[in-house]
Amino acid sequence: MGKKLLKRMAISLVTLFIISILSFALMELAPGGPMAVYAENPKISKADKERIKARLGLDKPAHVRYYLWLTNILKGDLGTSYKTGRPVATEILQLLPATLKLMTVSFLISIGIAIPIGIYSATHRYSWVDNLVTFGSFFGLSLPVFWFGLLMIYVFALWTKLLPAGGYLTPWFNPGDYGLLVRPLAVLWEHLRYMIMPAIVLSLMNVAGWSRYMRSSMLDVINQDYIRTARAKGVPEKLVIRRHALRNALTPIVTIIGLDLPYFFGGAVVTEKIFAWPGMGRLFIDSVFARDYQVLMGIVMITAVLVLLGNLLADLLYTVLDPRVKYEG
Amino acid sequence: MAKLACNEKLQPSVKAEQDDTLTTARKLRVFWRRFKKNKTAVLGLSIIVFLTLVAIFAPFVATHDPEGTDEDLYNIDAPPSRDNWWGTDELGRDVFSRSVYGARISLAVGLVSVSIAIFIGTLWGAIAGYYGGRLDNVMMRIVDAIMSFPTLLLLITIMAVFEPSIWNVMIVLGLTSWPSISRFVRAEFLSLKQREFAEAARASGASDARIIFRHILPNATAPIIVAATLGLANAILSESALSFLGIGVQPPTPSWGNMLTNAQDLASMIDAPWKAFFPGFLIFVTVLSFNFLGDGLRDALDPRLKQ
Repeated sequence: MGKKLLKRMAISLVTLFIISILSFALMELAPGGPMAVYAENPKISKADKERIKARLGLDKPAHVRYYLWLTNILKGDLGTSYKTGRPVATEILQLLPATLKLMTVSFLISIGIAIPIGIYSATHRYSWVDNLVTFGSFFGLSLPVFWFGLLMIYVFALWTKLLPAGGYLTPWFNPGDYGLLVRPLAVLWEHLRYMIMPAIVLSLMNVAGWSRYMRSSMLDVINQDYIRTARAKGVPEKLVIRRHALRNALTPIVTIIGLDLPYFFGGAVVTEKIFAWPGMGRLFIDSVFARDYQVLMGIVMITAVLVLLGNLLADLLYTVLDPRVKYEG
Repeated sequence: MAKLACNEKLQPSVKAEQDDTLTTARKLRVFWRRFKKNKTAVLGLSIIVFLTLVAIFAPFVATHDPEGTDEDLYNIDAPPSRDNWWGTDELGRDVFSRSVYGARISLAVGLVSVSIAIFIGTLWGAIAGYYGGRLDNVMMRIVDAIMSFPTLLLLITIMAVFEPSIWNVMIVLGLTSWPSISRFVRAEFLSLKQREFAEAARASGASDARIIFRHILPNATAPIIVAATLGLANAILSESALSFLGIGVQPPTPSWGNMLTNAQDLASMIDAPWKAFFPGFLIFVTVLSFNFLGDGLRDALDPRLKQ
């Protein structure tokens, strides 16, 4: 377990370091920089600008600022937002739970749909369901996330008025309005109805991609000798699939899911934007237009850390599912 | 590497060994026979050819000036009619004509960015796969690092830093999408470099560059073509997402993505849903066609990969 895992972690740290240099360099290249916000304002004099620059630490050379920024990050301080003047870490931490909530629900939906579909397709190869799934996965991978989101809003929010078009919770929602018995249900529905559309939109690509991988992984396993042996011994087909095949077919999927995490985060940004979901992704887009580089860098770094943690987790899970893979040498 | 005197004389025989089994014309015929069995791939190819023709002859297909606002101020957000087949947008511009010109943008961005990605990815993968060892290890770790990063976030950051324009979209998409191509090429080179024809070229004293580009690369074109086709689908999807968010192709230049930007508010969706429907549908159909085509090409070019 130990040695290989340490090596992986070391590589992850180097990756993080490269990403941090890359994003810092990008911000440095920005024409105008953060001071561009004040460039057009006649009320701000040249002396004022110098003062603002000094207060934001922008008068120091780039490598000094990078060093300061990096040491601050290691202390958990991601800097101050140029726009709101509040600490970046606070801004992000405030919105991160909403993003993680959306992603967790969407992740569970994706797994819950993709894996059974993949297994069914593989065990009923070339049946009409299998053909439909293959066709459907092409559709899912080709559908632009934002357009799918708009279609959903059109059908469920504007046309049938079943669900809210966007947002997180109704501002005037008060659990006290409901009787004691229905209150938990009312609260649950209140959370769910805002969640349903963004979660489904975010899941679409995962379901399309992962069910394909699950299908081909399952097909690989089914043709192995030990499956034939199990069948020859007279093990019922259901047990062959569930006990012998499934576990071995799942291991490659774990890796694929780990590798797909970056796309998942990318999808979350667009989804949050469409459904006005108050998460990190929307903060990211808003910061782009506000040229709030400190917030952008903070989000880029936090996302990178989350993705690398996800990959490490996938590696660990892999060893649990397949004990032959030992993290040694 | 020391050059043998008989180097030039040996080359033809080495080359002959590569394609002694099938001539190019016969290879193409075999390919076509396999390809046309795949109905969805043929459909995809037909749609792509059609869209390409529309893009090339856009001035003749469009019924209106794509950037021209209507003189008739009452004709804004108008539903589809005989004059405006797909309706008009909030400035009275013809949605159909803008969509026709949008095809140019989408296909051009796709082609240029994929060309950049193929160039870098092939070079990178070829060098890593051919030389192997430590160099390969370092080069592939760099690829891992780039691939473990949310590309869309990187794209958005880069586009926010530099002026958003069609050229920047092309360059940035190209510069961020080569790693997956380099993986395919590397895998292909790892196996091809050990084949007899590569050994023969090496024994006859061909330089590394010659072996890579003249001997191995021509045999590795199948996975590159497949990766390019699927890459086009992804590039068109990414361009539309960036333009939709307002950091890609900038209006008034029409792109399928940025046509949706002003169509997404609820008032527009109630009053003028056609603004959102047609451009989005075109993105979907185009991306789907490229995915179908890529899948068909993979089956026809490389039967080993068929599942």
